[in-house]
Amino acid sequence: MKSVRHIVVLVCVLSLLLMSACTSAKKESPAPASGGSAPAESKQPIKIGFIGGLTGPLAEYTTAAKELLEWAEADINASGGVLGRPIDILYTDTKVDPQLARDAVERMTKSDKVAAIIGDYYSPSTLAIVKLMDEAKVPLVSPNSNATDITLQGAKYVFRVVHASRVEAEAIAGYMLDKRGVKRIVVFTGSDGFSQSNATAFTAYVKQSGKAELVGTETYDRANTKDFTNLLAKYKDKQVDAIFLAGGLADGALIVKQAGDAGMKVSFYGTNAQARPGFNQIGGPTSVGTVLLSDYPGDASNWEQFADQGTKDFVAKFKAKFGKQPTYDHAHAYDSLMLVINAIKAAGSTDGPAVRDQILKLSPVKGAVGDRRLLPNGDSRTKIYLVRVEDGGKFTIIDTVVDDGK
Amino acid sequence: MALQDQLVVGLTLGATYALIAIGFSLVFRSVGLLNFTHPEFMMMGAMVGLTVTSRYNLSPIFAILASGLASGLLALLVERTAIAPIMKRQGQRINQIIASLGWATVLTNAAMLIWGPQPMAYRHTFGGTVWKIGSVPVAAQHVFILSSSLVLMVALQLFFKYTRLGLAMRATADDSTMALLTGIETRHIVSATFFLSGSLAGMAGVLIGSLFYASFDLGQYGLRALSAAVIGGFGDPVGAVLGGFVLGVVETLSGTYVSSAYRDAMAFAIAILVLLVRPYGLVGRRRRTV
Repeated sequence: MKSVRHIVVLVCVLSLLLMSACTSAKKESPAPASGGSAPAESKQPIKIGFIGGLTGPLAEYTTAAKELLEWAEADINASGGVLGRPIDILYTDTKVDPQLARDAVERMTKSDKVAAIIGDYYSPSTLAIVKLMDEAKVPLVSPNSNATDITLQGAKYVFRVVHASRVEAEAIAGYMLDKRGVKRIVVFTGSDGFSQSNATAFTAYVKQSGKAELVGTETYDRANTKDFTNLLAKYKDKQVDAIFLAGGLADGALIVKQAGDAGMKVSFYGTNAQARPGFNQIGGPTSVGTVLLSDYPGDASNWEQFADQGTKDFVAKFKAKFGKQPTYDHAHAYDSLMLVINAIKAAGSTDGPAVRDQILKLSPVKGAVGDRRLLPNGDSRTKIYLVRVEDGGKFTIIDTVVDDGK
Repeated sequence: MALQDQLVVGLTLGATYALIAIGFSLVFRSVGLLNFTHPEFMMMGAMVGLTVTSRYNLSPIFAILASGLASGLLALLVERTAIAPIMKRQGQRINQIIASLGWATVLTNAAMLIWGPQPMAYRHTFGGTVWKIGSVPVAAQHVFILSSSLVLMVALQLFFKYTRLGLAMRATADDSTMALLTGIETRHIVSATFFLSGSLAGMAGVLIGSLFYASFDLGQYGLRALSAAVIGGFGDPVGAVLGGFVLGVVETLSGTYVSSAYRDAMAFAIAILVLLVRPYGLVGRRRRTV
């Protein structure tokens, strides 16, 4: 019996090792096109890296991205590839671990020799690899990382297709003050980096504008706090117009729900973090009417009224293939890839500095997310949509914040 | 918010901790083990309950029973694979604790794979009624949680004092060799204890999940409850409930009067203070095991 147990343990350990090897393995490059003599360097596939949390809390977003990228890769290769060469996207699961991101970048730039990398989806991971990209002279396009600091490091090779969180916080603040005439605001924020960057930018904007009063700021531990009743009760008699949710989806939804339970009459505003159906599911009836942000209109029921032509074209193509509406993550992954692809075409090569220069020259771009302008520091500017939370986890666009050219 | 309202909030919050802490305390009392998988049994209960009510549209009672059973069986699995083998080989307690941590990671990731990473809401499981005590909104689940923890506390005290199984559990905890000599099947006792504590955690998970939301990382919230068990007094169901209430009230009061940012720091500072004065917790007594 003892040996049976030993065998069982051995099998378990081996299968665990096998599984972990599989999840972090990159795809093998396809054999070069046959028919002829030894393939010349120019027929080798152009490798593009993808790093993101394929397993873990961000899996939903990265799975959509991967779905899109696999389709795009097949599509592009079917029409002759890029510069006569097929493209080959290599996927690495970086979970939510900056060290895994660093390892992946090292490997992709040094041994795989990728032309560019798309990722990461987790801001701390993206921050950890900024310097590496500049050292390797390989362009990076992040579809999702919005930490303000990413583009403040003076890096030349880092781009993103989302707004810095500072821009989002200012956009919602501007909307609240100018379009809604909000006068007395309470900020509910987590103690983590993401929430704090939202809260700081928001607070600074409001204070500087002088148009509204910040009645208070409540900071809580996002992981552990689920009951906000006493924090909310502090403001019951303070004539508060609005609560700004600087944190995440689950905590934001609970705040809204418990405020409703307490009978508070206040309007709620948030960022893109809450713009998913789960917010209404957890927040309940009180969450209807909350105003959030998105740079991609396609998740809203009335998107066609507001979307740029680039978005409409993308949605049509995607629907023809998949029979469903593309999501925020599909659109951002597409725009990330196309920046890379089009820059390589324009540069006529996969030389890092050349591709990097061409990425900037592509601006303005008609992307899947919308019309996009690229800034020299790697940031993006697109229209920002104000979306209203509706019943059943749906959204409607109620206003837009146009790109102000800054 | 008036002080008495603060206390109501603190007690309702504390009751969620208490409910989780009771099961944790149970295993410690009977087996002498700090079972770090316990919060994940609670989380699994929340997830199973969600599937039962949302996917299959069954009533909350089914959810509670199903979760109780599922988590109980999970606890049994953990005990059979991680705890018993070590005990059989006279292994060290610390290894069992580490093994329970390992299982906690497995369960968290399994939940994430099965149910996905997004938090999910129970749908009107308990009717969505919200009463008011003073100016405090108190949901139906709050009442359930509060009454369950008190009922369980009393029930467990009686159980340990007056039932054969309860006495057998105490004997096993005090001196397992002696217990074996008196004819108590200590292995079965341990399994039974794990099953019971897992069930309690699972049922707690349904109540807590329906109050907030179900998510693979709900176990982190449960980890808080373990500190409640420590404050109240290890190994004592009364201690677990008391510790839970104390933690809830302290957290609430510090959130309001000190600062919401330091809420956690205050709660744990108080915990440290309590332990400095009473090292075995508020109602704990020096025990021979561990």
